[in-house]
Amino acid sequence: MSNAILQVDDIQKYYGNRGSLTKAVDHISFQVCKGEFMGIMGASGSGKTTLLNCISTIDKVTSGHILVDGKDITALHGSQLADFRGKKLGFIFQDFNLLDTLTAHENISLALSIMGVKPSEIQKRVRRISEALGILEVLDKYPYQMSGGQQQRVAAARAMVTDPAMILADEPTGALDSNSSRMLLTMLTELNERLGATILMVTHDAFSASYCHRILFIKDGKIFNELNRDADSRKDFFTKVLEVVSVLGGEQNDLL
Amino acid sequence: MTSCKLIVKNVRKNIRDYLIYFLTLMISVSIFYAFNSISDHPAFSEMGMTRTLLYNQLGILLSTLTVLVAVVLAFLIIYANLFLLKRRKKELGIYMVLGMKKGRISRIFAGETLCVGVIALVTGLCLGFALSQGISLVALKLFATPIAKFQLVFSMGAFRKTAFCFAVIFLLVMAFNVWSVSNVQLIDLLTASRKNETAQNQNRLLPLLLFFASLASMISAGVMFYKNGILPSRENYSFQVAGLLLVAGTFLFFYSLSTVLVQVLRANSSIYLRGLNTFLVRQVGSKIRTNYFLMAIVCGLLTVTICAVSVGVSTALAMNELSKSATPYDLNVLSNVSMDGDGSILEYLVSKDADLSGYAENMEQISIYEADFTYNSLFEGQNVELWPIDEGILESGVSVLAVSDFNRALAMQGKEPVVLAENEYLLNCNYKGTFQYVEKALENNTAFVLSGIPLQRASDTVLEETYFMTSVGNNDRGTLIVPDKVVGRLVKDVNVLLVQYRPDADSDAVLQKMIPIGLDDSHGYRYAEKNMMYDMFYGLNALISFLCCYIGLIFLLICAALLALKQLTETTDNIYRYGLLQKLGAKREQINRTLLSQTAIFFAAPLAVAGVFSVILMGKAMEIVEEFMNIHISTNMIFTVILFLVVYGSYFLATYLSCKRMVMEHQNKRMEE
Repeated sequence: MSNAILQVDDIQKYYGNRGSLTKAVDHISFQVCKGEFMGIMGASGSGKTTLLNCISTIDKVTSGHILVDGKDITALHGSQLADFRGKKLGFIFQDFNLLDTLTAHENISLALSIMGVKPSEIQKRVRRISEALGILEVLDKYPYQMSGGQQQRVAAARAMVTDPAMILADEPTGALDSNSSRMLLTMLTELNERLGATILMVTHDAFSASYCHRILFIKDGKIFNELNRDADSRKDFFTKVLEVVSVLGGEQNDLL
Repeated sequence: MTSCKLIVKNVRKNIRDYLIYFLTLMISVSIFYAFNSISDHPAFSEMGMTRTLLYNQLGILLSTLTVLVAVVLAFLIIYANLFLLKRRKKELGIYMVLGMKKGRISRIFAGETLCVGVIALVTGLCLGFALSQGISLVALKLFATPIAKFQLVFSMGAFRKTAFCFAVIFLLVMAFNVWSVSNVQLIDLLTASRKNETAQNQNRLLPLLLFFASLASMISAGVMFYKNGILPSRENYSFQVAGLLLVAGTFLFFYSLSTVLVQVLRANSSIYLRGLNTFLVRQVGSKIRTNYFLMAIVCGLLTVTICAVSVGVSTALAMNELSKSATPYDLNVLSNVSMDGDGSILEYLVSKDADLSGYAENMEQISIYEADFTYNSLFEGQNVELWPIDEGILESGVSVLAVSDFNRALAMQGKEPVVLAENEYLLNCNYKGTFQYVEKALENNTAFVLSGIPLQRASDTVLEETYFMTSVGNNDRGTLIVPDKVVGRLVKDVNVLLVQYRPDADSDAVLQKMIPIGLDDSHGYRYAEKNMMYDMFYGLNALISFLCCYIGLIFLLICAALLALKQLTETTDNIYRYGLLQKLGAKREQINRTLLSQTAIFFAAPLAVAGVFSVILMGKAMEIVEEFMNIHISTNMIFTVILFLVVYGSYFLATYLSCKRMVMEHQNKRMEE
């Protein structure tokens, strides 16, 4: 596929030593196309976060290759890695990971100034993304002065402001109540549809997953199933997701 | 957003969060400055001009202590910095995730260290300046210098030393930070808080064995110290072996203590299962186990502190009890015959505009001769072990005094003259370091030949008179008293003018006249003045006691700060456990009590061990000081106890209150949510 942003090629990730070897990721391959909103689902301990960590260069693969924009990131080192993370990737974490010494505005602008963007340009871009995400009024607040939903939107703004090739979201709704979750997911959908952002989201929550276009189900480090939303409504897709989840082995209630 | 702005913001946050770290940094700087500035105070530099052997040794002692203190402080600061770094792992991870290069992160951390360092240095120096003035005031009083001499002094030397030492320390910290940053793995940073403690060794027998091994090695070290003293000896390696045993034993003790403790308490379920004791025991157990290194270090430092402060204070108190009978004269002027020729000292003084007739009530000039054999031959056949400062006398000729001179000196003190026949001799000695050898020499030599004249022993007891004065408890190392006609054949060594003041004489005025004479290097005139000697004797002793207390204070502060820092950090890390306890239905008082016991045990454990060590080591240390100072010292612990209550106690209290506040705040926040 020519418009593949991410190409994961037969990767493996082992933990531990000879005594107790854990295969967290076991021969996984898939692709993500430009403009796709893709989900990775699985129960706790299925290896989904490890997979995301490998893609995001936070962790290193044991074997296999990961290509982002045609570039093999498993071969990058040191400052190349830092550069790659800054320019090509945006992160949204479960616990937001905002710097609490900085205001919302500074948190967002930091991502740009690290990349060496001109100050005048920084102002414009922070404003534009804040408008899009509806956080203009909290820009001068510190993280502890904001609600969880606001913090997560600031984190999303920080992830988006650098125009990354791909946004990686690790359980982004994990720490939010259902209302904030819905708002965040709608926001991600908007980012995807209006700004054309490519999003890769890891979640164990079927509701969150139902916002994606395509879902990879992972079990014991292997791809278990793949589900395409196609023309389904979100509700129908949600039911389908639940069906797969129940087949996946874990009890349905556990995953709800 | 520039790196500078980020640095400033982080520093502001850190100073608020790590107040104890910053305070400790600041206090170390201030104490370091005050400590070094003391010797630069004018009152002490005057004293330095007398160039006594002791003062030179003191100079060496001072610089050694400075280095020691700097090293200890460096350890403390790097250790505290390690905490800061650990606590900020997540922040570091975010920078990396955002694509910041390690070089720039290192620069930010280095900049922060620099920033905090400069602020701590400046505030610490200001505090140190104020502190040193107070200390100087106390010191001036101790050294019996008029308060009028007091002036505000800013010591450039101490400033340079402080700035240099702390610059080096901060550089080390910076290098350490850069090294840590460039060695971290991103995955470890982001999951830092989720990481479990490494699984504990479940072997139950090994800790028990280690515990008894540690007890055994500590006891054997104690026995060795008790037998052989606490100074290294050239003959055997007892000191080194005992020291190693003690250090190893201490580490092992704290390493194994918690496991043994937990096992013992668990066996007793009536205690273990009451209230929150299960939680408390486990918490304390894991704390001591993970911090055994820190505990052992703190224990060592506390031992040094207790010994130093107790010995110092006891010495200072003992000095006050010294009688003044040791110096029967007010002023001695000595002239070196080989340099100035044999003449009247009084005439020389008059020629130098130092006429004493207005001040003196009694004056006598006596002469000390040098025998044609040395102390070495006097002490022949004895196993002589002199104190290091006296080793030179073995090669010098024995002092000889004519009996008429001796009797004139005694007459001034209102004492009866001694009677000596034509061919008899006596021995006089009042110096502790040589007395036993002189006594033995008198016993061995019923008769000997001095410059060809045979002499018989007149009495078998050594006289203990003071016929001229040097310094307190540091006088005649052994002098032959011989008939007048014998000395005529000997070489005259020094003439001594003995002076007793009139009751209304102004000793300062005399001193003013004597100082230029004493400083004149072209002549061999030297003087000893009673008041000045007292100042010096008490001054030197006071300085040593003072230094002991000082070092003790620094170590104590360091210990308290280390423990406080550790306890605070751990409480922050474990805060969720207290939330959990409350959810399980524990009352607030129960939780507070657990916190209090935890903090108390954490502070008390090293202190208890240090107390036991001190009891063994202090007796021995006291013996050494007694020998060196020539005075008897009775041990006084009151001051030490008070000092500990104040410093250690307040750090303990501050820690407990901060921990309590942290837990409370956490709970309140949770309730609001």
